[in-house]
Amino acid sequence: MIKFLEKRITKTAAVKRSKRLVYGLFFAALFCGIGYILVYPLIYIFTTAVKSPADMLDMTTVWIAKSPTLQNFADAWGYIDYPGALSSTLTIAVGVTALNLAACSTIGYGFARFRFRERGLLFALVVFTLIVPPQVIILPQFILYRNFDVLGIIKLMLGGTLNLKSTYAPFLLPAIFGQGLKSGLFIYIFRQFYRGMPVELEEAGYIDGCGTVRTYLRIMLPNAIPAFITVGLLSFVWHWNDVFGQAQYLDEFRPTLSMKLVGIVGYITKSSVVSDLSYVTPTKYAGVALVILPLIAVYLIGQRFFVQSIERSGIVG
Amino acid sequence: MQLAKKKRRRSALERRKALTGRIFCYFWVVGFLLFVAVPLVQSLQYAFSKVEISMGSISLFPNGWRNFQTAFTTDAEFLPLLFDSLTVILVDVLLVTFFSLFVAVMLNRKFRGRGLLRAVFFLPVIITSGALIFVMQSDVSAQFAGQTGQAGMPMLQTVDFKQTLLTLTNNNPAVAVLTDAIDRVYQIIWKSGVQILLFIAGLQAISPALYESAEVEGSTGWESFWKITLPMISPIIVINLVYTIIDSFTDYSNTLLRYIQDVAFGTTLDYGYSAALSWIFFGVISAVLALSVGILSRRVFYMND
Repeated sequence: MIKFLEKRITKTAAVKRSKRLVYGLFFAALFCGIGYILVYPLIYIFTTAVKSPADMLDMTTVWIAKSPTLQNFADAWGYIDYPGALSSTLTIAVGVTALNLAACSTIGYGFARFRFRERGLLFALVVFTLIVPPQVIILPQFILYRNFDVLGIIKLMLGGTLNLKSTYAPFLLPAIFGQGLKSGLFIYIFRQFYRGMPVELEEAGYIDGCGTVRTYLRIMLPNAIPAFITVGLLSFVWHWNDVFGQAQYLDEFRPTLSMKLVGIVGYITKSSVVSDLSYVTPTKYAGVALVILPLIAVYLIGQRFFVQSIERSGIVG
Repeated sequence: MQLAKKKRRRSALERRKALTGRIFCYFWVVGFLLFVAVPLVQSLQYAFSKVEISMGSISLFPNGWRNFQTAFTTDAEFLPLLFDSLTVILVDVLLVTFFSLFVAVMLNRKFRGRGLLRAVFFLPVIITSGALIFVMQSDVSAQFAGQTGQAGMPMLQTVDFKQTLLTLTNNNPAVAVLTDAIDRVYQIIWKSGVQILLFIAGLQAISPALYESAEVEGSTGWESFWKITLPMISPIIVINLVYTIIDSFTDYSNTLLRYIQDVAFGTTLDYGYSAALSWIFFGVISAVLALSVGILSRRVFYMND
């Protein structure tokens, strides 16, 4: 009898194992296919970036350059004016992301956990700002920042309105109040996360004598790390790559990486002797690679916190 | 009497909490009034005017509902574009949501190379935003099949198969929708980056204790998915739905949006008419959004409510 049972158990274990193997193979194949589609542009960018003009003209060279060169990167570095543009981009991306995290998490918490009569209406307004196509308010908003004033106070004090064009203010100021690029989405993300958290966590805080603010900082914040990472990554990437907003407010005095990248072909053909496509294209892709690399690095750093938060939620949950 | 006292005390606490909540939320309202409200109202004004821009100064000539009338009666391009983007979006939203949930659940399991694979699925967020796609679209748009809407790789194209199916089914519109969806596989994969990220974050916020206790009770993985993962992730499903709708409406590849932009800054420079079109478009998005969120939010499960 026991022997029979043993046999049966080993048999089901074997079936289970082979089943898992089949599943594993299936998913491996599926994800390899999807992964290929997603990595394809990246491979294209980096293989093109190291091609020399000779490789570009050589029809037999498809992916791997026969005489690879790093000169493209050095040239692109110069055309983009990398250090200057990077500092400009970093100011916007880091500054706005930090402000977004602070403001949107707090506002999202307010919408998630406190009941008051007009809450639904205000939240509808938040989503509403998210749907407004940027085209709708480009022009009026530009005028707003061009002649910036708060209820006539600035005019009263300085005798005129402020011109915030070609400063970082049109990015940083609205972000303080959760009004930046796609901030509505970030508020929404935080709200959903806080709403999903067990209310007992906060009650424990209140019982232990914490006020609202301390309960929020000490208990809710550490439990919302996945939301913070997500919002931080999205905000950083979107501001890093944003062209329209930056081109609108920052002119040639403070160009950002994305602005430089959009105009790179023009810079190359203007300042170099060779305006041949076999030179321009690889240099352009070297520029693209230079802009992408920091983003990939930021993601890899952020991802480590992603994994950490699993263990955290295990402790608290 | 004791009961009445208790009740009053609780409502005091509630009132205090309502005040705190108001402080948190009205902070946003202040920003809204400072930075967004005025441009919005002005844009609405533009929609009802003929706008002339010359050398940095703007003059408005109010013309009532004229712009809106033009949009619905004389403009030959606007309405077809609007309906096109609506049908595309409805199909896309469903596919993107299913696909990204599936991928996120897969990526949330423990296996070797998970970090790498997650990084791969984050690539669309990097590549399809702003400057990069702008630069790359100019000469290799065919290479990035998903971006332009025409799949550049012939392997997975369903063209011949589609024709056969359509003739077999006597041009059944349902089949056309299906084959179109398959044609858009590339686009769906490319559009799902943000949604996958959100789903992964949502999955990680689910306490492992729930799964452990379910396993102890003898629940299978399938059952755990339906009884734990799906309800717990449902708030994120709503936000992904909202995001996907908004994203498809405000995407660069949206032909309608390009048209609106063209009217304003392209050949005609008719900013007033462009504003009117934007507001119509905007009204349609709001309606779609309100409808879908209304249907879904009744089924959403929040841990506390």
